[in-house]
Amino acid sequence: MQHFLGFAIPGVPFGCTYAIVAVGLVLTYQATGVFNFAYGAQAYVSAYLFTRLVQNNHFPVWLAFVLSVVVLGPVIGLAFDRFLFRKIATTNTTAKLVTGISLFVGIPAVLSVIFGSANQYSPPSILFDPGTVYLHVDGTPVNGSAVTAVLATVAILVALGLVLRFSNLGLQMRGAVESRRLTELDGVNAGRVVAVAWAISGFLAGLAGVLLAPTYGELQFNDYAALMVAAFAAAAWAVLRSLSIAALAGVLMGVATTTLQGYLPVNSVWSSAIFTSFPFIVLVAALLFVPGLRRLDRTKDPLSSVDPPTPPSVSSLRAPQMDRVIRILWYVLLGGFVVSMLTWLPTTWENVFNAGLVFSTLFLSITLITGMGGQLSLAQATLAGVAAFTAAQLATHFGFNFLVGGLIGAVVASAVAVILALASVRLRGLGLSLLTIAAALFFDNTVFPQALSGGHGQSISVLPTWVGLGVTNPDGHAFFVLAMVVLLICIAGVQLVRRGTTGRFLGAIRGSETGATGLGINLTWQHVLIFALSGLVAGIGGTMGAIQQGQVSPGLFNYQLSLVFVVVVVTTGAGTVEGALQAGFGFVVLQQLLTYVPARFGGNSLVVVFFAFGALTYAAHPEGIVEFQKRRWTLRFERLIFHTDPATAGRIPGVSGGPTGGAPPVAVVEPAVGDHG
Amino acid sequence: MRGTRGSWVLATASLAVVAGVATGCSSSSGTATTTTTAATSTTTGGSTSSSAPGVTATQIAVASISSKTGPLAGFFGGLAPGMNAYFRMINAQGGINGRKIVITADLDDGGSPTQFTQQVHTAIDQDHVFAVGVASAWFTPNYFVATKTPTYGYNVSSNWDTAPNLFAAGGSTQFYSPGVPSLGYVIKQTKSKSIAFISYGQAIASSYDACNAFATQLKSAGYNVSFVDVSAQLSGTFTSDVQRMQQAGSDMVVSCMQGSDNVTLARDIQQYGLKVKQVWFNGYDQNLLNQYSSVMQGVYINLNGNVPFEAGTAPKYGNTYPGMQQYLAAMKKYEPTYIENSVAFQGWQSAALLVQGIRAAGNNFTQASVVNATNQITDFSGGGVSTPVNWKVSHTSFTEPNCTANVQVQGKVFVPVLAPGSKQVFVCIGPNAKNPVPVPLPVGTPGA
Repeated sequence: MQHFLGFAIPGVPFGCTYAIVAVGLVLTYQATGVFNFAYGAQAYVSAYLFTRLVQNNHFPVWLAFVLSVVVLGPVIGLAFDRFLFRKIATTNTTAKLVTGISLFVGIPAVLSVIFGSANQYSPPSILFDPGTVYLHVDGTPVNGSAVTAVLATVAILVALGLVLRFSNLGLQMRGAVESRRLTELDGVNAGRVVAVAWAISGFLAGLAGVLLAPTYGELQFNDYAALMVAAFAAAAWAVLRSLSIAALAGVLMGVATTTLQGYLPVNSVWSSAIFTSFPFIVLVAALLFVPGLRRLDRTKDPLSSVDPPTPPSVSSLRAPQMDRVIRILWYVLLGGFVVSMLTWLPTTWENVFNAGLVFSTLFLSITLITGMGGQLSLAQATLAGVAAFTAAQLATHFGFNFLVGGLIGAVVASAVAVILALASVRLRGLGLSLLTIAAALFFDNTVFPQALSGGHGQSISVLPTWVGLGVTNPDGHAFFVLAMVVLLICIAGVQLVRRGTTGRFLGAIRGSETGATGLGINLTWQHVLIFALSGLVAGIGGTMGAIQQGQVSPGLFNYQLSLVFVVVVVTTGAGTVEGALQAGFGFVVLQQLLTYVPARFGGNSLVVVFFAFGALTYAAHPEGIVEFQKRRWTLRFERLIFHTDPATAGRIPGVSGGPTGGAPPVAVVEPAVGDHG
Repeated sequence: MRGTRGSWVLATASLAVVAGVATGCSSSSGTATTTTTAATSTTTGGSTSSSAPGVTATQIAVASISSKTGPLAGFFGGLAPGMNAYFRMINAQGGINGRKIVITADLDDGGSPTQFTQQVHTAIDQDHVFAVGVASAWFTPNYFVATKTPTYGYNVSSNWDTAPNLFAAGGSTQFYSPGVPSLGYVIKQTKSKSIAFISYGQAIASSYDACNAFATQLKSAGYNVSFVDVSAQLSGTFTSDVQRMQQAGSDMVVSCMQGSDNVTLARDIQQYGLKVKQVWFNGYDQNLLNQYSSVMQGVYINLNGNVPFEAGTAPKYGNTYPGMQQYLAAMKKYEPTYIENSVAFQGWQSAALLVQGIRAAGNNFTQASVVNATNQITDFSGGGVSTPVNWKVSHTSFTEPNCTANVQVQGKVFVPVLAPGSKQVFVCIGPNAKNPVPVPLPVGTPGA
């Protein structure tokens, strides 16, 4: 018994912070319909400011707490509501998820740009000294941070429960999430109710942030990402509905994690990975076995069907004359690009564009799964890594050529994607995204570190002899030819799928699942098929990436990159092949251009900030902000040069002279992105 | 194909813009603004010509690549300041045969392997530097080896032993076996009987390899290794480990983890009332000590072959360690923020090796001749700040005996301990781990 308590009690403070975050997530979801992916980032901001104010600026703890938690926490929540989520309250789940992911990725990058990256050691406690033992429970010491976490959690949850149970606020919140527009018709100021919910949730995030901080020797964002996933799991078991179950599940998660860690054999992969992997296992179990989660994305708002469809892509709107000009320009510039790459371009930029080709290939997998499949997968970098590690292991242990191994690896990645698809066959939108990020984190913490065996250090070097054909030569020409061929094959494949039966079926499913089923389309088969294809392309991209980088390492394929990839691609346009290409080249070119900017201005964090801001426009422009601007300028250009107007020329659906009004036939219009959530 | 045209317009348009930029620019630097285009061949004053990249009649261009932003920034950001301080000291003395040596590209990999690779190309192909200093967990040697660029830095990725042009401070191969007798000496000196080991898992190779080797070999040598966890989680919780150490009766714990996790471990040890001595390989950081002096009391920190900073300041050492005094003076003058930063110290040693190699290669040096000349140096000590490194063998092997410095936390300071003489900071131990006996310091060892 003493062993059990000895292992379980240290998990209580972790469990308390999980509980607070889980409650905050449920509260926001109940009040606003938003699953706040950025919650971990919110917690980190408050903890960062609190630590900085105390350590660097020598503020009293109470004042730092007031500023960073009582003031900043709600302000961030209110800002999220006022400037972002209120504007997208009636949009689909995908738009809300993308917005949350953008904030999750962008906020730490903004902090890094503003404050730099100096280590923040010794995060302080808001009440009791973490270095002092205040009591023993059955011989187990309980220190100040644990006492603080328990007291703060109990106090805040009791207070919150009383407010929600015995005030009109709770009732109004439920009404607002049921249908904000109908609630407003009932005379309730839904905007105010939702704003209060965001403020409370922001405060809870800040509180969880400062409670978790002293548990570690150093403040690091990764710990808050882990916190977030643990809270996801707790919130999932509460079906995003019950605050008390979420709180209880959070505490149990913390206790179970340290208890398991204590009982599992030392030096096993399970004991090593349990602290980070256990929440994902719990989350996956909830997604698979809690029926309520499958119904989360069933649209509740009766007025949601009046939302306009996603606008058609620019390529379907261009005038024939403009099309001809662009076609000619395309061939000229493609030729110029190839000649430049093989002749005069400096090696640095040749390498940059080679990386652009690789990323473009990888991003095509997002075009498939998100653009065509309408699903948000947060494990694309993981699938790429599965192929790369498979190729590396085949080369290390069996002497396979890396390219052949990469093809086998891509098939393995596709198989992993199929497993994810089968596991998520009843999930859509939020549930699917949570499942894929759980899988990504599981691979990061458990599978990839094991896959390093046979390598040297933290990575496996891709040896020139593994690849052959001069592909790894320093001049990069051979790699360019290979990458170009691979990319063109993948583009051709994606276009074939888009134009073929699968593409049309997926378009129909995005339009209406019920209608598609009525037409005899097998939703499950299409779901599995698009995952398999996406995994295959991601695997090919991952193999090419490993060759281009000269190494295979977990850092090349971690879950954060999967999130960044989504943010980058939805900025340029997930619905089209050209969006993937723009994302691939834009991502690396921008990074390279920043090498001309002194590091003190933020360095690579600026790239993430740039794309995160771009992705925040996703709800307004689900076709991608770049795609939107292209359409805008192309049409202006047409009017100026060719004196044509797409509206009067009948190229804009629903406008006089255009295709029949209302939702356009799926076969005519470029696929919209995630428009059913 | 309608869907793909616009992208190529954009992509190729950006290519055209970039091409204009690429032909005329080099990277901005945080520390200098000199622009270098390609290898030059001129004669000015006393300087002779060179066809080496990054070398002009007046300047030798060097790049640094480190994690200046991102999750590991706090660990590796000191490299460039350490190198810069050494170069500025040399330049103030007249430079190298009239040429100033300058960091022209201070590059940041953002803690990302992809960006690391890109910055390698930036340094070598865009900025055409003569040599590169590196402090990154994502170091991958391929392009440095392919281009034969002299490369110096901090080995945290265990893959520096692949080519003669890669020079990690202290030696390119990480050997743990020679350190076993030295650790045995610490165990004997502290009268410890029951030893526990803790490190991260295999994914963090330098941590895992070290503790795994120590535990295995000390056990073979007859020591009582009572507990081993070589699978701890980075930024994890260590209460279960502490309880197991308690049950195993351990009275010493050797940690191969990073400083902040060592502090978490030390706090758990303190709160569980475990009476153990602690030996760390990371955590020699005054900032860390200032924050956690209560839990760090009595901790021993193994500095391997590096002279402790205290040897340059404590009165009892007088002028025994002029190299350290020079380091502290230069850092105070040029990079005061990074004086007692262990990675800056690695940067200083890296810069010193580069300068010594260039001088040894003569006036008409090339990258190849500097690499060759450096590989003939048999007693490199960074001007007296580390035990001598024999670069004839240090890419692939180790020269006995193993000499280490140890410090102990006493109050708010680190104090050099366990060395035999009153003015010595190093203790060199023979190869017998079972009976670790100090041997005389080899010639060239600081303080010998």
